[in-house]
Amino acid sequence: MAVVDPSRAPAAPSGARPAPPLLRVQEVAKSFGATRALRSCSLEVAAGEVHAIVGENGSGKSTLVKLLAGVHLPDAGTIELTATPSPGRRSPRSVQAAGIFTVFQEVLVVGGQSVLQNVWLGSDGLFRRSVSESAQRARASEVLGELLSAPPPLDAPVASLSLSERQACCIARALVRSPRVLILDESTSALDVATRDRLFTVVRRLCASGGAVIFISHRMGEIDELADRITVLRSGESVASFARGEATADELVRQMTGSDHLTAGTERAPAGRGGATSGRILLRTRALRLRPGGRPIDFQLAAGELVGLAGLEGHGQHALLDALRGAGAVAGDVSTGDERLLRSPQDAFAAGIAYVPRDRRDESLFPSLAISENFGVATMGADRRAGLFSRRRSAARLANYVSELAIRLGSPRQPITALSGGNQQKVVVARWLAAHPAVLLLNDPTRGVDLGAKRDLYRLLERLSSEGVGVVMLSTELDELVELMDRVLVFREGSVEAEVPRSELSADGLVRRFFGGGGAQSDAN
Amino acid sequence: MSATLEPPGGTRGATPAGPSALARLMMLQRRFQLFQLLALGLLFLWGATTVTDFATALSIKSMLVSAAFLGLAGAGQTLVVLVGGIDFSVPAFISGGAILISQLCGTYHWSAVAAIAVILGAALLLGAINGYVSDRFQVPSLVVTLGMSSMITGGLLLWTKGAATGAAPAFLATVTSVGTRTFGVGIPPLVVLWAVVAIVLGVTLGRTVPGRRVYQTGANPVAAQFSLVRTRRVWTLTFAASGLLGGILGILVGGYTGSGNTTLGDPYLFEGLAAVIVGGTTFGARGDYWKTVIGALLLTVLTTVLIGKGYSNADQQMIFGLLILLVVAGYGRSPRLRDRI
Amino acid sequence: MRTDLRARLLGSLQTRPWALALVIAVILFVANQLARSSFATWSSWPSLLADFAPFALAAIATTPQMLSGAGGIDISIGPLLNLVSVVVVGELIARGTTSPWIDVPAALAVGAAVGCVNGILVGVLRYQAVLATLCGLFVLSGLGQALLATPAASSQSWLTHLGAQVGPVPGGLILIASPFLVWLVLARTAYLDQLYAVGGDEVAAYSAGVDVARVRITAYTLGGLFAGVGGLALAAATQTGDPTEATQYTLPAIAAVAIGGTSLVGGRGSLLGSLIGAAIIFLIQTLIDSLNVNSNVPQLIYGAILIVAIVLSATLSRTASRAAEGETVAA
Repeated sequence: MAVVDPSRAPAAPSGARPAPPLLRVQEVAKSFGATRALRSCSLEVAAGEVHAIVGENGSGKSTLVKLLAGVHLPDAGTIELTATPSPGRRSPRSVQAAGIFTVFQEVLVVGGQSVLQNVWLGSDGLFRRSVSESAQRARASEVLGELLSAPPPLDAPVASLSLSERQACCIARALVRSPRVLILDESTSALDVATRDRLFTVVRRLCASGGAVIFISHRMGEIDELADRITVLRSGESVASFARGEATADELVRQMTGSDHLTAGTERAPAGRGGATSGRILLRTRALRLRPGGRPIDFQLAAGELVGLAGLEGHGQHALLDALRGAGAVAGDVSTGDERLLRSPQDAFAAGIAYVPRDRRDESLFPSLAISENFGVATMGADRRAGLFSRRRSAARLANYVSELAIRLGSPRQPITALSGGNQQKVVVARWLAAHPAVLLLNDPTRGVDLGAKRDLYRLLERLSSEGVGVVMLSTELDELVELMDRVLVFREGSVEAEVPRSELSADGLVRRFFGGGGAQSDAN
Repeated sequence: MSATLEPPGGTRGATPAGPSALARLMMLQRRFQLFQLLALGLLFLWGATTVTDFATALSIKSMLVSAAFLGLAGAGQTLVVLVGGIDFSVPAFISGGAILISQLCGTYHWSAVAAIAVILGAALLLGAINGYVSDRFQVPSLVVTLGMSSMITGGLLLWTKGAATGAAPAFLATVTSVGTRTFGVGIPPLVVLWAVVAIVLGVTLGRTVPGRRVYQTGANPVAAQFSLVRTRRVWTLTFAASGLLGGILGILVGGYTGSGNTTLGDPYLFEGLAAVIVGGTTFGARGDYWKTVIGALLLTVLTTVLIGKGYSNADQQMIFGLLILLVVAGYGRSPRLRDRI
Repeated sequence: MRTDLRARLLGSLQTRPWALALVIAVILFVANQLARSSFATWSSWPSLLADFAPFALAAIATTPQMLSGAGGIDISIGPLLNLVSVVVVGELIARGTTSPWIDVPAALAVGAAVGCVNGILVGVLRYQAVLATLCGLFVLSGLGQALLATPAASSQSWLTHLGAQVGPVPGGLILIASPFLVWLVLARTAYLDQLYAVGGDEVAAYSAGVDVARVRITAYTLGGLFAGVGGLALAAATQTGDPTEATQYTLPAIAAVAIGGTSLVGGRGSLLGSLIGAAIIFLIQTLIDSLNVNSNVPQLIYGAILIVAIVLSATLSRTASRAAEGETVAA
């Protein structure tokens, strides 16, 4: 529990380190307009080290990454990569020339171009090629072979790959150019478990050969597994730095939140809804097929049930959500408890089924519109007064949810882009709660959301289920599936591989089933 | 821990502190078009003090009538730009309206009411096709409206055998004339009509659910679909409205000039677009019709001043171009790439 | 078997989105030939190509900007063609600078410079392309009018050659071929990959270290350069610098690019597609002329073809990409 002075930078680390740091960040600060995203952050990354950065949403992690990546310039403070002169004008290009490569949370590929083109994107001059094509091919296959068990052909268009494979291309883009410092910003959230494990092997080898990795993840398990050092950010400041094994999870959470409300909300009456399955049926599928040749799915959702959907990326869990929200499937049908067929998303919404899409930026937000309108868009009829739409009414309705979901916002008339990611997500969830749904479908709602916001969301789901709302949630976080769900459907190759009841839920058990049964013990953990 | 809870001189998280003076100014600009209003006022003053007979009632009235034509040309375009498209068929609708009203009433002796009903019905339908095809097949509205424009013009040429005949009903000339009084008040009826259109569009866009759907669809069509907005209907109706407004303007232009031809609408395309842009409406659902009204007034006063000062048409065009550059610099630009990661 | 054939057909249409347009163009060409046997004879080629060149080059000059994405629709190409032609005829030749060694580079420089300014507006100052080039449209039309108030005629020999034959080669062919030569050279460099990447996903390209602004400025400069060639073609074809002549090319040029399978959103398409698209529009016009039917039909047909072509190309490329996705899911 050797907490380094929490008020300021981790000055000289207690134990003298053998090598000088590879990357030194000193008291950098960055503001966007009136928002101070980063006040003072300092950290040193030694060669051979996996350096994790943790913190709640809005703590400044993404801003720090963007400063390191050259996307933004710091207002104050310095970032130096020792042994190479600092690039003159910082841009992603100049920073990469200095050996720092960043894999962002968003999967940034050019869909129309080939795997090879994507892997080598950005390495050339405006006209001059940096590496010959044959060398490019060899290097790309080598690196992709390390990351993926079945690497796609180099000439395949990236648009035809799964999300996980696309992110692997982004990671390969950094790896082919032999980074001195590799920054992984939540880049594991789009990876399936197998690829993630392979990535970790690559990361360890990179460190062993004298590189360094800055690792950002909301998954504590991954940080435990990988990090040699953990720096905690809180409200834009680096408040603590721990060596491996120095801090417990509780300690980290306390540093991140600045308080002790660790366990609040995560506890749950285990038998609370034991009888829920005997409740009214809200939604059922008959002989539903998610792909040609898939096994039919007969699924029923009862009032008050929390059902999790899990599996490796692209194995059908997403398709089931789409079918449940009325967007159709290959065969079979979806109906409500009282046998109303759902033929379109409009049907489903009219039947009280609300769907929170996965990709916040692309599928949920209206960037140029006000917070209140972003909230009220699905239920605008309620804001009509004498035929005219009333913004004030919309804002008043939003106010009900601001306290319930602990949304932090200035004025509801501000554009939605003024909010942090977690708060944007809460506004999106509030959008659908305002419709008072009987069934709430959520597509990985905690992806890239900080602990505090996650906990608020869990609490909300518990309350909804106690009120009889049926919840179906796709999640990539094993912990929340295990702790929250009444049962979990595990998907494999477009069919339901297993239905795991609450009493049998465990992280290893789920992962084993992702890979088709109990054979692959080693993949768990 | 109290030190972090009460940070010195800053706020926690994303809640901004008091906005700076510049931010305040930008906010005023966004809401009230400060720059455009100021430019309008200064230009008017400049004209009034240096150009003879600039600020007479007649001159002001004729400027208002010109602005009304321009503003009406920009009305449909405003809607379409807000929803995220662009309508290059506006000139064809204008020419079409003018030709049909002259030909139907003047040559075939239809009643004005029947002719107007046919024109507006056709404009609605063809406009709706523009929007429906663009959305249904996910193709750029620019190309679809270009095709539509060509088809309308071709159809008209075929029908009129290349030479439009007839004359628009006389009452339309009265309506569009600068000297006519409206219910005894000394405001030209066309200007009153423009004001009505502005109020209807202003209220519809800002204060009705269908109006807000236009913004939502324009701001993020995918999110709009996930929010159960029927975006295809929104696109279809928005382009139908644009066609309708083009048809109305065509009837008026026909009345003003007395007859129609297929190139009558051409000047209104880029100048109408200029009024929209200079007013401050841009893609991505930013703007409203009030802004276009200001843009139309600004461009009209500018043109009048420049003519009064003896500038040529060529000079006017260049000044228009630079004005667009200047206005768009203020706020119509795309976000920085670095802000989009 | 049938589905296999269909899949292969769709696949090739996706990699070569101009293939469909090419089929249409060939049919139109044959139709033209049937309608008027003197349409394309050995002796008529030069004048045919000279007539076609300005419009073809307008379409080609619109393409790089569109490939560079961010809604890169350049509506100032028509007036730019015109300005270049005015400069060559009205400013250079009319004032006695008759050497092609000065006139041609000057024309290309004017085009490239204007393109470069557009590129800076879009790439660095972040103007939306339609708005930046709307401004360009006004300024360039104004400039064109200011420089040459009345159409001036010239009969300068190198310009006449360019409008007919340079040695045994049709001048129009040289003009149309020159952008493709530039493109071929670029294809051997790293530039085109980056151009398509920027057009396909600029954020991904930027984060990967591509200098998006420079790639885009280069694209607009190339467009301007090609428009410079187009200006020469216009001067050669008309032998005058009529300031109102080429403004009418603006919209059909965009249409030609779209018919040629280039995505208006960027990242997909080719110069060749634009050339074929331009050929389609041109051949419809000539066919109607040859048939001597009502001269008002072409507009109607051309509008319909435009809509059908764009819808067809969008639908086909979507079906093809879905087929490609289906394959990988099944694999």
